[in-house]
Amino acid sequence: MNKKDFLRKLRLNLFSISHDEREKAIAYYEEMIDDAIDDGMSEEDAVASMGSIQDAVRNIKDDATARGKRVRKIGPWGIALLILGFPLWFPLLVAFGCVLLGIYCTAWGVIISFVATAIGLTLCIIPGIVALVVLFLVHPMAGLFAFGAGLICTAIGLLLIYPVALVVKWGAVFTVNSFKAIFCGFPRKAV
Amino acid sequence: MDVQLKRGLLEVCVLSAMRYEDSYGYKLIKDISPCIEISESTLYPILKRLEASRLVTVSSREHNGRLRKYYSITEKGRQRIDDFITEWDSVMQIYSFIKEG
Repeated sequence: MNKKDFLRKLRLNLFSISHDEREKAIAYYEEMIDDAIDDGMSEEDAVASMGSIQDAVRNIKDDATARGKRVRKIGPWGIALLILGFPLWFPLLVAFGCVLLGIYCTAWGVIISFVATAIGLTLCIIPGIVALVVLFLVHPMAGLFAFGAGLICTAIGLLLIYPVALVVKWGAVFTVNSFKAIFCGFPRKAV
Repeated sequence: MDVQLKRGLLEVCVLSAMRYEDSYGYKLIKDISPCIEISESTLYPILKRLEASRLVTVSSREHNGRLRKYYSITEKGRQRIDDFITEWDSVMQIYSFIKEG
């Protein structure tokens, strides 16, 4: 690698530290390489003797953070990329959000159908009693059968009530927590 | 050698290398290398720390048409070397104790 490439790569890798820190580091390595060349080394050898870019970057960054200089997580390049890509990632994000919403509503639809089933079954005792009374004189056996069927349905419905209620509770808790995370949790994290 | 130990020793080595005359990055590497292993990348944070702790001062001087950073030791820096030597006299005593059993 020649001197120009080494320094260019170094500069690229140091995008996340402040401008001053970056320029100081690059000046240091440029000086080192020039001195090595003055001492008789070829440009390739001088650059090679600097060690790897990774080592250099690590030592520069560790030092910058240790001395309290902020190392930015997203540099100017990151922000530029974010802005330029907006027409691409934003609609994708919205589409993804809609899919999530769709899944969420479907899940609630399923839950509601279970609730309806549980309630419907539980109420079967009413038509059961009605059938018994109405058919008592005309067709007692049929009336008794209908009453029995109604009782069974009611029993099943009653058994379903507890698990269904549990599922509804989970759904409600999940919804509340997601709401909190989306609208209250994130501001706290950014601080 | 233990990493932490080496880091502490390197700082004093660098100070020592500029005890009698101002020095610059490349020369420091050449002077110190025979004694202890040091790379250009490890030297950089050491020089920054020494400057931040005011154990050395930095100045830019012209050399062969380009600017070179020269480092001079301060009084505080000389004190640091003396402290190190005093500390290590007691370390040497402990070393003898351990070695002789």
